[in-house]
Amino acid sequence: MIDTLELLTRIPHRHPILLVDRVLAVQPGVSLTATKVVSVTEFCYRQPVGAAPLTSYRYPRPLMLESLAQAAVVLATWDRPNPDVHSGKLQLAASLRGVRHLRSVYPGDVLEHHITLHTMVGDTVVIGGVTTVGGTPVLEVDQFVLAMRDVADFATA
Amino acid sequence: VSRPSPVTVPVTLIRADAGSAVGQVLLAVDDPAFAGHYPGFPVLPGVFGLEYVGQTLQAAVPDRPVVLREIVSAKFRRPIRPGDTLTVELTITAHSVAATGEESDLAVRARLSTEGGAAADLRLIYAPEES
Repeated sequence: MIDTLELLTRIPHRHPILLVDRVLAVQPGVSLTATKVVSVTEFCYRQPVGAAPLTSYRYPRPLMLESLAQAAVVLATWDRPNPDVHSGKLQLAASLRGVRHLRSVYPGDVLEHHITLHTMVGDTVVIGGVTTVGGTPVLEVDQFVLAMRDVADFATA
Repeated sequence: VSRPSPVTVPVTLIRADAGSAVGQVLLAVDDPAFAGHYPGFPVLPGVFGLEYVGQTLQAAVPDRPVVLREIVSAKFRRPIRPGDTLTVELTITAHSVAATGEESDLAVRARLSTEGGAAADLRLIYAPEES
């Protein structure tokens, strides 16, 4: 099991955008299972003083997908972990295909991401994944393409 | 309707008609979306572009609450950085649900751009909000 402290040595994401809590299992180059607990204390539920109260506590779907993507990054970079984008490569989403949201998720739910590595060619990694809550699929991703780039490429771009 | 959001500054709807909409937002340097992604090199997480697409769509169809059902495809062309003005251009068409044949979904083609040029292209399906 990889806890939060060790996750910080593997990926550059930090609070409040570190959206993976634990890695439960990994088969390097093949698959990974990671969890994230959805909590009402997360920054997406903050409301400025005087703002209208939230009328829904559904977890934002972009955050759920970002959480799955971070679990994918942990697997994609397992053999060359990169906790700092200044010294290593920047992980960027290049493309997505076939992303289906099957159910809504709410505070108290535990997301379990089941990530499968399809191919890895140079700095491009193709991943698939399913997220479950209590064994029920809530999100399916057929294809997520990750590209690793040097930060220096963007400083001049 | 007030929904939880991963971003602080909402999109402003610039214009909308029956089949299209344009939204715009100046990305705040202090938005929590950038704080941890990444320290010292803030980049909008690619999938957060979805949030701005959803906000633009919802502003264009205010009487019809929708939720993202599917990303058919998405291509992220360049990083979106704090201080950028993000423009979201949508083409919206009715889409039938495979199971029922009802045209209750919306198919959305979204083009995201900044001052620097095209940032992302997405093909999305939105469903009526669960009641």
